[in-house]
Amino acid sequence: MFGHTLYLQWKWNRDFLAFYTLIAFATPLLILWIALPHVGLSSARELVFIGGVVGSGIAGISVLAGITVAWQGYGMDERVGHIYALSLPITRARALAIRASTALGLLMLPAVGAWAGASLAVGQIALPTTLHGYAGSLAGRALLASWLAHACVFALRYSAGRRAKVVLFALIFASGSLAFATEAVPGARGTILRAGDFLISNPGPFGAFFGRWTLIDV
Amino acid sequence: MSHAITIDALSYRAGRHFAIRDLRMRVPNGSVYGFLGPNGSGKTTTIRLILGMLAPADGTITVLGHDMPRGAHHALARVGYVPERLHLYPVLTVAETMRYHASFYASWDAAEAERLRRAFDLRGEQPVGRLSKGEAGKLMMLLALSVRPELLVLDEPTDGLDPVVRRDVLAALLEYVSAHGATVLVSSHLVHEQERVCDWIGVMDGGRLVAEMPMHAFRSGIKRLRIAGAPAQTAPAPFGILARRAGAGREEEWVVRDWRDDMTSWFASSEAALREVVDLDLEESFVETLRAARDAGGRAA
Repeated sequence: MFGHTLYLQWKWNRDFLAFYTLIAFATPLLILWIALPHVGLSSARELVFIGGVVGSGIAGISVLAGITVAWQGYGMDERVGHIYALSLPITRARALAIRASTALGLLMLPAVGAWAGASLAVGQIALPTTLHGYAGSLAGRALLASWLAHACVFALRYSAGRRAKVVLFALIFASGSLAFATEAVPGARGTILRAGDFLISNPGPFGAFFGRWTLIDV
Repeated sequence: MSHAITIDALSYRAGRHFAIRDLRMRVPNGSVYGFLGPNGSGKTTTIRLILGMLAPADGTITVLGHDMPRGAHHALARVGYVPERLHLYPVLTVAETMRYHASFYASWDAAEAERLRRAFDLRGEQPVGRLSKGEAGKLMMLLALSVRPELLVLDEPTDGLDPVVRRDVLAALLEYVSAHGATVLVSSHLVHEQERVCDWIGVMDGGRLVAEMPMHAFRSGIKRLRIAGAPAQTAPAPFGILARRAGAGREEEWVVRDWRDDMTSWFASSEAALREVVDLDLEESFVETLRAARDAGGRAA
């Protein structure tokens, strides 16, 4: 059951997955090849900066891959009116668990692409002794970020269905209202900022998306 | 008599204008139950409720002994389902779809599936998204039959198929039913097709089941009578009157149900003369039943 669902999901998402895997592989190499002639290898600070640019690129690709696979996966069922999925002899919870876990498995491909590209990129430069390449850590974090992005969109799509866009708009509107409230309501600013900080900083629920993403660091 | 499907006091609302109200339905075990009704009458919604795809607002549904939708995953393992439109993933090929489907059913009969694939002339490498309507219908029937179901639920299975494909699909269905004694619930608005295969009939209209009876009662019990000097009061009649219309001269035309030949004496006792008893075919019976239900609904409103 799992294997066949994995294959189905792969067939449905393979174009996007191949694209993200290729981009994740190429991004570290391209950035390095473009940036190195300009900054040279002399400055540790500049190498760290390049590592940060690579890290940010990988972060963006991972999040996009997670969102795409979740959105596309739901679209596969939506296209046939969810009838087939609902007619199979399996609980909805189990069906969702299988669908989510196969997607998480497939999202390893862009992470592997990022790891391979980052490893190759780091291997091409002689880093000063004070600096290290973190290809494995970067790829691992990319995988976590793509899983988290997938989980958010998967939950939104499967819970809200056709109203997903409305719910998404409502969430954005609510976030904007909160930002406005930080300025308009006396005393609210501290609470809202603390809540925001909890959400986006490690080990908060969205900590994987934020903070420092880098390939090269001390 | 035990029942494969039992529905009691079922209510469901879909949008502002359509609702299923207080539905009671019994599909006997081993029967081929024709679920008739015009488009938009609620057949597909009822089928989706039966299969646990939709949750009722009120009432109970039992399928093969399992309460729906709570026990849907148990019941669906013993059910073959053919929906009205292609519901399979277009990205898979025929062979991949068969393997995917098989992975969910312990009762999957691979040899039978392969036999049907050959009989239906389906190529394993054909993408589902590129199948013709006839090929898609055959593939859905193949999947439904290969799980060796105790209950087959078919929603307009032959709608839009050409006569050759329709014959193939129905032949495979009847072959399976006669070999395994499975129960079949088959919805359709093609009345003549139901007449050939069904032994029970349920007629749905406007979200209500307006008639449910054995096919022989539906076919032989509904008559058109030509009556001279018809009585104004009909309450003590031993048959049900579906419709009364003015005929030629002083004659009236009645459409009645539950008719038996020994009932002719009732007219003599009420000083009316029964001129003619006309047999109705299934389609006429179906139309008259619907008309009567709509008239009764209009009067109630």
